[in-house]
Parts: sequence; structure tokens; C-alpha cells
Amino acid sequence: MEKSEKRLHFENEILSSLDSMYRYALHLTRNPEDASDLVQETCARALKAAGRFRTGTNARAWLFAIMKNVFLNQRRAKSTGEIPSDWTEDVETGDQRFSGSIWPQPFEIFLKDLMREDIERAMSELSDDFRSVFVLCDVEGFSYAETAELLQIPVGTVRSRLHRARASLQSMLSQWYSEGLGG
Amino acid sequence: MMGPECLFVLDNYNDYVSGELDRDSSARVERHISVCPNCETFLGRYMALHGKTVQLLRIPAPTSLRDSIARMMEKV
Repeated sequence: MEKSEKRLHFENEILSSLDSMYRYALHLTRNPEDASDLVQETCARALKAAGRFRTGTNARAWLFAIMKNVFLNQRRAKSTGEIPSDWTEDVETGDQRFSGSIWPQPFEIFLKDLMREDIERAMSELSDDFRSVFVLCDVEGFSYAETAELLQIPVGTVRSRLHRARASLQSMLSQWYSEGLGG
Repeated sequence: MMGPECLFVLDNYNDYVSGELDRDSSARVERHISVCPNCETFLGRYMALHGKTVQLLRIPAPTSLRDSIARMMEKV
């Protein structure tokens, strides 16, 4: 049977969001194999529910919301699983201005030497709350409002967590590099 | 010496980097960094490090996963 234009459009939305979904799944599961499984399960559910998708709405946000629910349900089903604090912790308030304004010198060399492994290590040091917001806003480009809706937290919390996540990352990367551990 | 416009930049640079600052405030940040070498260096370096961090984290999904989703779509 030939697929409808709406169906093809929806499938294209999924395929164009796949990299993004995989990265978010990787953040949630912290394991490439589990991340691939999570994306597949999310896609299977999205395809099944395709009739409920309205053309013109934010498909990627919808897919991320499905993924988050699938992940949480899987974690709840495993008695040993611990739900990331993203969705369970109290709201944090306040802001923390970036304090590490002095980067290693010469800055250009520091920047050039920076490797993905350093950044992944720094990301793994962040709390789930901070990492989630950083991944959604900065890596995936969701707005504060979209991220707030996805994580079900206030926009002000998204803002403060994002600012603190960025400050922590820059601080760690600078410190490790200065100590000779980052390169 | 740090002036009120420097403090404005320090209070707002994160939202500026996020693209969440309103147009007038963004213009105010840009006006100031065009005349303040300290703030220009600070924001330039902050954005450069932030940009590289994000760039290195934007890895693609494995080809095997993409193929498997494409196969799933063919079956539906």
C-alpha cells in the first residue's frame, strides 16, 4: 500500500531527528547499545502513534517527549534502576555567575587541544539535572521554554541550571588542562 | 575598570549565548563589547569554548541504527 504524504512527511521528520534523538538517548542511558535500543523503541511507538501527530507542530519535541516517557517506564520496570534526578528533584533557584573567567593560556592552544574525550569526561561529572538541560538547550538547540516543558520544570530553573552547567564545564576543562590532565 | 555596562554583559551573557536575550538587550551587549576590550575578550573566549564543546558533542547516530529505523519504516 502506498504511504500517504502525511505519513512520508512524518517519517522524514523522524529520520532528520535521528542524530539528535540518539544523542539524547545516549545522555539518558550512558551506553551506546542501550541508546540505540531506546531510539528504536521510541521510533516504533512514534510510528504507531503517527496518526496523532499534527503536521506543523514540533516533531522533534514530540519525539523527545516519547523517548523520555519510554525511558522512565523502562527504568521504573527495573527495580534496580534509579530514576535520574531530572524529574524527581526539587526546583533549584538562583544563578551562579561564571567564575572561571581566566582560561588557560595561550587560549587558542587550549582550545585547539580540546578533545571530545575531555568534554565527555566533564559531562559525566555534571549532575543529571545540569547535563539534561545542557544537552537539550545547547547541544540540541531547544529553547528554554521547550526544555522546561519537556523536563516539566520552570523556565527559570532551566536558565539557572544551564548557566551553572556551562560554568562547571568550562571550569573543569580549564582546570584539567592547566593541571596537564586534559590533553 | 568594570563599569555598569560590563556588569550588564556579565548579567546577561548566558542568555545572549542562548539566543534568549531580547533584541534591545542583545544590541546593548554588542554595543558594549565593541568598545570594551575586556568584555570583548571575555565573551569571545567564552563563546569559542562553548562553541567547541557543543560541536564536539554533536555526534551522529550510528549508521546501523539509521538502517534499522529505515527498515522499520518499510515494514509499517
